[in-house]
Amino acid sequence: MKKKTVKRLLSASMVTVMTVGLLAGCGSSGGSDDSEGGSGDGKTLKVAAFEGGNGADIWEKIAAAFEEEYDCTVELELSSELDQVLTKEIQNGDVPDVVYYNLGQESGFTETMLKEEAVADISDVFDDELRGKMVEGILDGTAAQPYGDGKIYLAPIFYTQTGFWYNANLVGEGKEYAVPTTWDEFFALGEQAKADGRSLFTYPQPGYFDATIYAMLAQAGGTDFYNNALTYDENTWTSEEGKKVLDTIAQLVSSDNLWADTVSNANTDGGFKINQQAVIDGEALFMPNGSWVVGEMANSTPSDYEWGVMGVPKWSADESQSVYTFTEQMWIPADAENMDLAKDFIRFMYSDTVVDLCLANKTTNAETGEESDAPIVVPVQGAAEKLPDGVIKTSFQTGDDVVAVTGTWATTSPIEGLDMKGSIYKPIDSISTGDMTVDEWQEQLVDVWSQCADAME
Amino acid sequence: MKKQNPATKALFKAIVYIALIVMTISIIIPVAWVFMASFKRNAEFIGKGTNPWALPEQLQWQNYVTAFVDAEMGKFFLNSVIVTALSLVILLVIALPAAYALSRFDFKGKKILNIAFMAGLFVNINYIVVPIFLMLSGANRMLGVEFFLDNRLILSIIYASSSLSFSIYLLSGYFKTLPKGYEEAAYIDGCGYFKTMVKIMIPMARPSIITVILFQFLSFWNEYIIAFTLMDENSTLAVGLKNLMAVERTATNYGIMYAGLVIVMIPVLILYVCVQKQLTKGMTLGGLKG
Amino acid sequence: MNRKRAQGRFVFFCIAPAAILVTLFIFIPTINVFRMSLYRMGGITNRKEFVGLSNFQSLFDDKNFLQTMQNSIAIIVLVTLFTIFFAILFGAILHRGKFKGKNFFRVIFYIPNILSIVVIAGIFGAIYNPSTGLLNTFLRAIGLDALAHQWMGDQKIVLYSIIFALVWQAIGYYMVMYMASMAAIPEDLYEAASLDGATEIQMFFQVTLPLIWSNIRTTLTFYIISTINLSFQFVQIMSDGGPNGHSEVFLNYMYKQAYGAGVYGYGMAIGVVVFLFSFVLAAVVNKITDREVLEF
Repeated sequence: MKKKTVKRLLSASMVTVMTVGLLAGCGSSGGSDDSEGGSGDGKTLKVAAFEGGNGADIWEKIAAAFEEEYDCTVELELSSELDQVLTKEIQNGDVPDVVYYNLGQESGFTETMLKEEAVADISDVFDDELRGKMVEGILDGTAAQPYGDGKIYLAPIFYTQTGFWYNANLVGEGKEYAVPTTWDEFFALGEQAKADGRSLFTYPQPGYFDATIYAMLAQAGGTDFYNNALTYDENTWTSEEGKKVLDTIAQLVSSDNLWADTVSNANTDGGFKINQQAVIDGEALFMPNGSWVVGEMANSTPSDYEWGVMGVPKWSADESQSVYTFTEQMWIPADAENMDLAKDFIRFMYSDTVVDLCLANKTTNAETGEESDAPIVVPVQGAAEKLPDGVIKTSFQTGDDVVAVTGTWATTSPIEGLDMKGSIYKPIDSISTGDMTVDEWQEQLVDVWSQCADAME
Repeated sequence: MKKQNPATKALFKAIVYIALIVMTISIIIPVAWVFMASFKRNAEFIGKGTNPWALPEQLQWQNYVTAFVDAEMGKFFLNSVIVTALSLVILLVIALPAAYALSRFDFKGKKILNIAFMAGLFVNINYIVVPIFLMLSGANRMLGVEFFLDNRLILSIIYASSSLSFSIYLLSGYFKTLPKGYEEAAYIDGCGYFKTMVKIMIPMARPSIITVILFQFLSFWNEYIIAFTLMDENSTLAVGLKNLMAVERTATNYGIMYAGLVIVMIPVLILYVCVQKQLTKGMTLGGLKG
Repeated sequence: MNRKRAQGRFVFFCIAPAAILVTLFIFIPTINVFRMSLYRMGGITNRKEFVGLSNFQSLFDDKNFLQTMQNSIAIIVLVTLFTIFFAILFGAILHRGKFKGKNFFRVIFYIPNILSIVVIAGIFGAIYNPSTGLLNTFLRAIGLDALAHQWMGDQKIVLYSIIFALVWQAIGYYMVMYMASMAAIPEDLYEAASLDGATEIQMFFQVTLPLIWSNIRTTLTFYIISTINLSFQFVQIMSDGGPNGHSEVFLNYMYKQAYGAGVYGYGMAIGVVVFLFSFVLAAVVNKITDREVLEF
């Protein structure tokens, strides 16, 4: 597989869509018609996709399948710095029709587009038929309805369950360490690990605490508390539940439990992988992550290594388990030229064709050319069951007593001088080195929450 | 005359040598290390028991092939050569007369112009690059053309503009040090202003011209922020490297990343070895005079 | 009269092209930056709202910006002091010293300056890595485990790690520059001093330093400009301002606000402040270092 970061045209005939006016406004007539066998009338659809851990192959395959089914040409643009490329293009008046770029990225590109109200309302894509097909609850949270107004702007096209990933060669039944379920058991394991010269915990980057904090908030205070927290309830962090979350994280990353190199690596370019490698190498036992880590680390994973995954620990054994569902989003810019065809493309993302393509996804090692499985799961019912047996499938198997949690911090109007991700997660670095106290962190969060609440309108 | 104690002298000399050698080592080792690392496989970078000082287990030439192909370095290399050369030509053609006029003639508004060019030194390209981009894309739309972006000539003009302030400052500093007599003689011989400048004064400024070329060559060759924003298909090597770094960092292919670094570093190092005499001599002769 | 007019025309044609280019590609964009700092805008689409000086007001309440300012000033001051010290020291040694290999050292010392920032940042990533970095593995190998640190992870150290990289990169450049003006000092001044019984060290303080003073002054402006720029490029790759903002610098913060937080206008306000700050700082430094210039 070749990786290129410049524009790639899949079709031989290049149609310049940039000539404004020529194609503007000619949406396909039967806009919301049946997704099967729709017609693109030979138009060109510009799809811009983030090239990340899933590789580039999958997008070429999906694009080819879409071209075949709909009479159109897909102009695919892949980049690992898609935010920068698109900022440039949109400023230049060259707006793509469909964009795959997640919330929660360092660049905040999707959040900015939302703040600028430059993302189209795509509620009509999700008609009753499609809704019925999709994993329950996946469209309800703020990750699909960022303004919390009941309208869908972001299509969840892939999903994964998050939790604590661990080294299953060391942790598990009959292994050196037992799998913990409560925080008390978890921290007790820390003592044991320390005696063996290992650390209990590491994290790739402080930003990876997002899923953990979401799950912990829901675990601590229940669904209502969680939803209020996402919309900046002023008592979120001063409440007993909120404080419990902060205290537990502080204990988790204290020097007793955290792998010593974590913070150094977390801040250098590409260093997050060294932290992930520490789990594979048995330097640390647990880390917050998602199922993508398996494919991401395949190159440096020994063949006899096994991953394990568990939910974020609970405070007491008889609570039900909250598990955060991480979704990846696709959206349509409000100024897209081929709005209807773009909506067809999003509908197509939930078709059996794409579900199967995604499950069969592989990544290639650039150095050796070896392929390894990197299945992606589309949030339609039954997709996860088709996964091959293994840890990824296990991560999707939700027991009876599990509460699925979705959503992200609600979108506010822009706030000068506020780095949302920075002020929530980065203090974890400072807490771990003892340079910041939990009280200072709490104070900072209360401040951020009040700023965001003011900007919520 | 006070004689220095030979022991003190020897000690002094030893300290001097140690300081010089420490500095030398701190430069050579990391640079050499990048060369070495570019031949390593990924497994030799992360994971237990990897030693950064260990020699590569084999010569992984494939790293170079991958880096070269993925970053489209063949194509970008030529672009870099064209853009760098063109920028230098434009820069000199424009900066030399301006520096000459500003340093050797008295006229109204000279002071203001000097201050304006000096102020240009403080403008950071990092924050004006987007306004430049918007200006060029606006020009495209207004004229209905695709001319202003992704154009090597335009990029060269912008490179030249961005270093005009510095170059004029440096060149006029040198022109000021030349004795007034040369021009007087030329005028008496019947040379016009233009001829005097081209035939007499500019050749005399050769050392400082070389200094400008060598400084700006490096900054044009290594520049990627403007090129990344303004260019697309006709991008330069530094942008190719930046893209490569971005891809390989997400994939953490360290060997390939370092191979890319070496590919970009080698032409500059070779050129430097060839012209280092000129460079240091140029600076000695044309050095900055406050 | 005629000659005067001819001269005027000549000067005009010499300066006009440069003035036009600088106006078009430096001043107009800069004015645009100033203008945009008065708006609330996201920078991707065309939506914008005029807010006057409100962006600047928020700037002074922004704790992160104040920390950034503190870091940037520390970097500018320390990088300048250390670089000047080492550049003059090495320059003087190579200029006056009588020993073999002078040219060799000069060639080597200049190398960091010709490398792309991307390369240097890559090199320092490899040096500072806590477990497998060149520095810590070396210290551990020679038994100095106690000196091994979390160079990029400890928020009390990280700024100095970056300063070291910046100084390392800059020494050669300024050394060669100072050597150029040292070379212009007439040899008889040294001979005279030597006859008066001055040692090499005394000669350095009585002859060399006063005579290159105006050159050092000039370079102070360069330090300010280039450190603001280079510290951004280093930080962007080496730490991205972490841990928790303890290595954040001006332009990196500007980028994050302009492109990451959706407040482009606010980012431009930071750009304006940085521009004014560097301009004023250069003027102040220029003023306080102004003393009688010794000519030779």
